[in-house]
Amino acid sequence: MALRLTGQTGSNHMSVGTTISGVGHAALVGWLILGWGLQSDPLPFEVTEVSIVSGAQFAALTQGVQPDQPGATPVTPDAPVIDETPPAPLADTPPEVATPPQPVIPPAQEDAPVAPVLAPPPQAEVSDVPPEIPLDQATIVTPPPSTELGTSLNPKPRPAPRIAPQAIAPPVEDVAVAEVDQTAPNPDAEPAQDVTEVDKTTAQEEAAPEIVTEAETPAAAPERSLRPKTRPNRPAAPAVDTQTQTATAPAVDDATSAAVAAALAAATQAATQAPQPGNQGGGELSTDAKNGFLRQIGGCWNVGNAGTDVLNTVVTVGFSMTEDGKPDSNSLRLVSFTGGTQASADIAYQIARRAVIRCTRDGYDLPRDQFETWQNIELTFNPERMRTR
Amino acid sequence: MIVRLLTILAVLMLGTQAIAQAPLRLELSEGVIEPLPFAVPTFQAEVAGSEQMAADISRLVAEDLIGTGLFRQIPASAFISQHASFTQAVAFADWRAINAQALVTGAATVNGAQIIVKFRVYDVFTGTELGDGLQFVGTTDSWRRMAHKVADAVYSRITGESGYFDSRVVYVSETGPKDNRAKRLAIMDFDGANVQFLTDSSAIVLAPRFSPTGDRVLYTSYESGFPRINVLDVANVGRQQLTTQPGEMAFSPRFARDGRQVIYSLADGGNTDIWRTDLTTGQHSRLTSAPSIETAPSFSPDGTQIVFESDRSGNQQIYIMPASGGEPRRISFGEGRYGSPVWSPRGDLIAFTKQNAGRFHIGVMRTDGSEERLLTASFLDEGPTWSPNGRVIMFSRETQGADGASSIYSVDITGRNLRRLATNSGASDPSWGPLQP
Repeated sequence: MALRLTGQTGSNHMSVGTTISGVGHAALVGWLILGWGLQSDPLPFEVTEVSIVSGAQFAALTQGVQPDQPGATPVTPDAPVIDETPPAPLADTPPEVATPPQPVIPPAQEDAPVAPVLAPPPQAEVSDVPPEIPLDQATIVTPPPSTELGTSLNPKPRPAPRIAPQAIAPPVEDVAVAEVDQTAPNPDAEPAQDVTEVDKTTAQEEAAPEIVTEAETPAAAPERSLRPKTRPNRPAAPAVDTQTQTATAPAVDDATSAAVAAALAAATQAATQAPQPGNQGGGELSTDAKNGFLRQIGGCWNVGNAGTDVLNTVVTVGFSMTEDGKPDSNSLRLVSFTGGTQASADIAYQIARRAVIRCTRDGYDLPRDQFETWQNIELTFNPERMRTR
Repeated sequence: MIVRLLTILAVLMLGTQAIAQAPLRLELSEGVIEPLPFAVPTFQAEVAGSEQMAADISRLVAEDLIGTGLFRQIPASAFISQHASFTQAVAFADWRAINAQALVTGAATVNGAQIIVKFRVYDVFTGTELGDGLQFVGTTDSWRRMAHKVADAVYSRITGESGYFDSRVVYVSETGPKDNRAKRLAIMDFDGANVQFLTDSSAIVLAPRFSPTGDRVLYTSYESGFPRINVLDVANVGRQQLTTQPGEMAFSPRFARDGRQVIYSLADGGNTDIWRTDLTTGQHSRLTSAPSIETAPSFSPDGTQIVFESDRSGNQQIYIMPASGGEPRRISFGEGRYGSPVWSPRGDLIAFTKQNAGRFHIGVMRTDGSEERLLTASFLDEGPTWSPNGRVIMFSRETQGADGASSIYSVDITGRNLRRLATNSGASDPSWGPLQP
């Protein structure tokens, strides 16, 4: 019963649905046919007028255009660049390498440039007759020798703020500087006609014919500097009155202490006393004296023929000097060496010994009053910088 | 108390005295680099008929020393005293006066085919003899070798390192136009004298390499149409093909320091790797296996490492690996391409060819790749080889153009003293042999 009732109800629902569907579709079709509600503006578009031309007219229009010739070789497109390099580099960790050095430019051994063909120079006319020298030639007079040391005999241009083709003397004081020279009017003189009135005297600015810079050495400058004088002696320590101390000494220990103090003072004074000229004293050698001595020996220290091992060997050479600044060749000895073998040290010592002896013909330029300081020298020859040259 | 104070006083006095007599200590680091002036008076002829030989030997000794760039000869016209007798005392003052710093005196005696040469070397300014006098005995045919040996001894006593004059060079002699060039193996003295051909020009030959003892030569031959490695006996010019690992091409061989092993490149299937062959056992070992081109191997002097070139990084660079193979370590990182590395006999440097910005260079670097120095620059420089003492590098240079020719040059490792070797024909691919016994 329940099923049947359900069936009847469903049949009624189907006929209602069909009706609604039919009406709906009919309305939709009618709406589409009539176009109601679909009115819209047309999309914008550009209209170009096209005229039809004949073949002759087209040929005339395209006159001057060079069409591709039939059978011409087509242009081959560029081949794509193919990177044939292998895949990405392996994980190599580059060490810290210094900037690659500049290549050593070898002596020119390559193709020699073709020498241009040179035309022979025109031959000069040669005459056996010597040219006549005019008698009114200027006579060259040798200037007398100057008695002033370092004073130049050549005239020096004065420095001036302005450069002119000709030197102009400095204007007189209280004269205004102007482009032209002019003289102030003399009130007592009669005024000239048609003369521009001048109210005051003017003169051109001082000028020199060439630029004189401040960097130029003054003509009277000394050519060499004097060696610094030795340091003056320190005041001598006061003499110890031993008699008084002895008389007033209350005990033996005090007297001994005083004697020791006096001896210490004397010893200290001896150690610190400045050298007397001609006394062959000591004292620290000045930096200039040391550098000068090293320069002299360095000029004779030739490592150009030293082997690689020798250039890696640092030798210290000891020697004694004579008072005239010459090394005692018998005192030369190898004190020590580092960085090489005994064989390379022997060669390095030979080179060093040769350097010390070669440059001593006139004696080294050492302060004679400090002989004690440089009487014995230990000189280390370090070729480290020479290796990199 | 008194004793103690006096002791202190004595110590103080002694200290003061010591200070006063302490040597002046200085350090010198700036010198000069210039050729050493030396004099070689004509060797004395101790018997009649030896004059020419004595003159030739003394002349060649001087030429050898001058050729190093480290010495400058003082002409005989400047001599004050002529060294009349080999046993005569040297007047050092006369030689000092002309600034001769080294003096070589000698004598020669010719007895039939035998020749005796003796010499002494002096340090003029110290007035001492460098070493003892030395004497060589040989045949008149070998007078050049005897002169080279004298020069080696003089060089060694003055510079502290062994010489390289009594040595030979194997190279490729080239004749004919560039597009049809005939190549033959040849051997000569280090100065270009005494050239002898080892092969004919029927097949192209490349890259000869001396054995450590100088009695054999490895080279690459195209006799069969493909590159193969041959071993040549210098004494009898007999040769045989080296049995290598089978492959399409075998090339770029080099002996190990013991002369019993050979390392080379083998190309097979588009890949090139480095192999080693034991000449005594015939065993082959593959040392590299990367999918790139590895070639130009060279042993370190102690035989524990191999330097070679490879493009595994995308560009031709220099690598070092253990002699038994293993992970290589790249040592060149500069701009351009690096190739043909050769380990110095001293072990401290590696020579190489570098191509950069359209130019070729011969250069050296330390074994860790540092301190790279380019010694030459040219249109085409390649194939460096070391002198026996590791002081000089020989290489081949080709000039530009269709008629360009190859020549052999030498240069000091400082980059100085670039010289062209005098050869009768074109020459390339030099390999410097050891000092002769």
